[in-house]
Amino acid sequence: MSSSDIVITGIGAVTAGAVGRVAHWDLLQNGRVTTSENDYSLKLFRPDSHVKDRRYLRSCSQADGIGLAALSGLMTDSNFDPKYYSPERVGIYTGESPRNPQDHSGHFEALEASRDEHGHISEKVFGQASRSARPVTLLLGLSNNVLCYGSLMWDARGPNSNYTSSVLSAHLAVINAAKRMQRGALDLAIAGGCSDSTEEFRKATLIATNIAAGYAKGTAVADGAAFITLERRKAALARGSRILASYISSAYSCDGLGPARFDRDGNALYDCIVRALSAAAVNPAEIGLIFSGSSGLPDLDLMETQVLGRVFAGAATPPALADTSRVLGGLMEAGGMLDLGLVSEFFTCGVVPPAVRPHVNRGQFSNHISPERPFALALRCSTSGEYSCVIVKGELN
Amino acid sequence: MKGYPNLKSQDKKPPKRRVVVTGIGAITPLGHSMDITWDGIVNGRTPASPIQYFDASEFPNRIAYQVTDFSLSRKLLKDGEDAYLCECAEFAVNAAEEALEQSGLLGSSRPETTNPNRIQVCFGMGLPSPNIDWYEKVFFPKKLSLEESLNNARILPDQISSIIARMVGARGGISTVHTACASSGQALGEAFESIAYGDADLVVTGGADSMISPFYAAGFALLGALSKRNDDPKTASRPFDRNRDGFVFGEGACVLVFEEYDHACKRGALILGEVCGYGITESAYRITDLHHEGTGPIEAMQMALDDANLKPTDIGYINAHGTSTQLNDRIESLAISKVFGPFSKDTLVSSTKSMTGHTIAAAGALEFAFCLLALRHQTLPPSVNISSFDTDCLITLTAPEAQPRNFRFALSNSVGFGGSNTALIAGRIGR
Repeated sequence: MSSSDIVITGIGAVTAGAVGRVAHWDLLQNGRVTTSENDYSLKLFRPDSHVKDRRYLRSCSQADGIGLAALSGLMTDSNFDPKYYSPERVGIYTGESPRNPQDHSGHFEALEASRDEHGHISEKVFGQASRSARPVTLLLGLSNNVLCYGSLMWDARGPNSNYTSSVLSAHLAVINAAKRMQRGALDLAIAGGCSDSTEEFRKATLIATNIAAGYAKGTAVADGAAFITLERRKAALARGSRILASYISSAYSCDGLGPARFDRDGNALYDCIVRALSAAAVNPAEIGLIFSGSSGLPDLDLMETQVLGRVFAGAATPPALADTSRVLGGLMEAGGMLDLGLVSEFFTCGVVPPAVRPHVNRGQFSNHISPERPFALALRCSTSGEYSCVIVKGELN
Repeated sequence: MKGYPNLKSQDKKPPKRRVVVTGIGAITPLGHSMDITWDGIVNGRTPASPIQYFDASEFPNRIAYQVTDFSLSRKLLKDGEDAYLCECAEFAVNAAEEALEQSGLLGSSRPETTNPNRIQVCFGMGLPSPNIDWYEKVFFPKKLSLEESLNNARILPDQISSIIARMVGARGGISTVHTACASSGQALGEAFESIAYGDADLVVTGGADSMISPFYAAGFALLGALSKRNDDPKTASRPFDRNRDGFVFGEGACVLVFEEYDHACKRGALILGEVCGYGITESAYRITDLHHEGTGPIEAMQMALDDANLKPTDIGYINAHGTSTQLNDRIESLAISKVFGPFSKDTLVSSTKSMTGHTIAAAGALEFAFCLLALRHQTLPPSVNISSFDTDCLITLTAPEAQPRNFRFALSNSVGFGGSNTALIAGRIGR
């Protein structure tokens, strides 16, 4: 099976700005006014009206609820028919954020009841008081709940995985799901991620992973979830599915410098892009659109644009560059999925919407998206020097 | 739509490369190296004791297998990196040092022929394990101090993968996996496939975890999953015994170096064993329970056998997930019996959790390492703490003492909360 036989047939997404594929494309076209970190928070989002089976929400955290809402939306968008695929040939690949302290909220009452006269919590008293908490208290704090409940929702019993690899998580989910499909082990994969980290990042004032590196500010972290469906083209067409894009190839790499350090020479990112291009047998001149892995950190963003300059130095006309995080915020473990799922909308539109144009040297990149160069390159870059690249092809219907 | 489309006929499984293991390191309750740990396994040691990390005197379950007298090795750490290490990540640092050293990847013995772009890290990491102090500091304040923010960084699960990548000079990519108790089984499986299908030549893999904290002790107790044999900790973890009453916390880390066979041979690395097959499924049933017919683990074991081109009778030993809970052991043994036959004498079974406790996200890596060492030494780990074998478990256990056995392949099962099931097959080199 060649890589282009794998297609994207649906997207389910929940962010602070929109819910669903169409609403997100409207959002990216029109932009939104954001005035504070609260604008990227889904703390007040209520998943109840979005999740197909609300029983799952009884033992879920807020992040899980957001993820399940996105997975429910994906089921509708991909017109999923559970009878079409054999359950053991359906796999779910997720990226999930590490749990937040509030995910242990089932213990709050017991904790407060365990304070002594000085206000300190006594472990000994907590040992008794905690016995009256809800039996499912532990489950709220598990980091693979979306994988679990997603598998129930989709009856997905095939190969699966869950990545806690920060901003690369959702890309790794797609990369590994696609590899499984290429090896013939899956017919349908659900891949993506979810995150609700804004509260923690706000309390920390800084992005915690950058502290040792001395950064004063980081990206605007956003809550959200986004998943896509990957199917084989022939099967997707046979079941009357709409094809949003083709998955072509992917790669990932790292600087190997340890936490919170990245190499300003950009060689690992360069290698990552070149490997993905090589695996796809795609020439840089065929790339019409790049989705930036923009971290919001000036040095890392500068390195990324320099690397893109090296990769596309030989191209007669520069590719277009889009940065969806300018509207969506940094979606962390959920990041990058809307880029893959909405690529055809970008190509159909023909220009990068002003709201997602990054502030870079305009001579290096274009705003015009040429249909003659139908491939798009989507990047993720982490402050710990980890990089991923997924190449997709727009399907212009 | 009537029935499923016949898509399997489209499959053309690509050829696989051979994957071998050239380094193993471990920090466990049995000892601070893989050799000491294996010695503890062979001798049937059960070092469980009352929980020391916090005052557990009023908790329903008060015992654990704990790593004692541990000190972090700073030989391979860079200044400031320890700020990113939670306790179990510290275990992983020492285990990685041992594995990399054994594999000849450190210092002057490091092979210059290895392309850094072909080296990856894939690690299974547990959940952050907060104590109450941390909880008060992190949850309640509006803003955090720098020190408190660093404490936040300590619990990010991908930091240890990043540090191991730096230690080994990996530039081929990093992934951190979390699927509860199946985490490191899954990490090893993905590492195996990465090499087998040509994406990497060498992957440092493994797992680390410690859930011995007030929150998890309370949480698991509420689920009724922990043993209440507080007065007899050494016999509390008793997988497949009729009177088992729950699992006992363990903690630790296990790191393995997986390598493409020719790559290992060319550099003259010591080959400890082979990774032959991997199976991964989802039960899609309940978050904490296996399906009563054991379907998920059955399919994972069959997938691993198919992947390795082996018959069930080729497997001489199974290291079961065997948590010592009533439900897991009964259903897992049912699954084993369906694949390997009831009470099979060809395939003997044990759960080493009677000697290590349940090391959660580290369990898959540690127990696969035990399979490799069992093959290497041609010795079956003992089934300890069995006072009355549960004959509803349709398996044949290994003997109460370690026994010699001539066998070529072993299988390690992992089953996670959330429904992920993995099966990994180890092979003896020179078989």
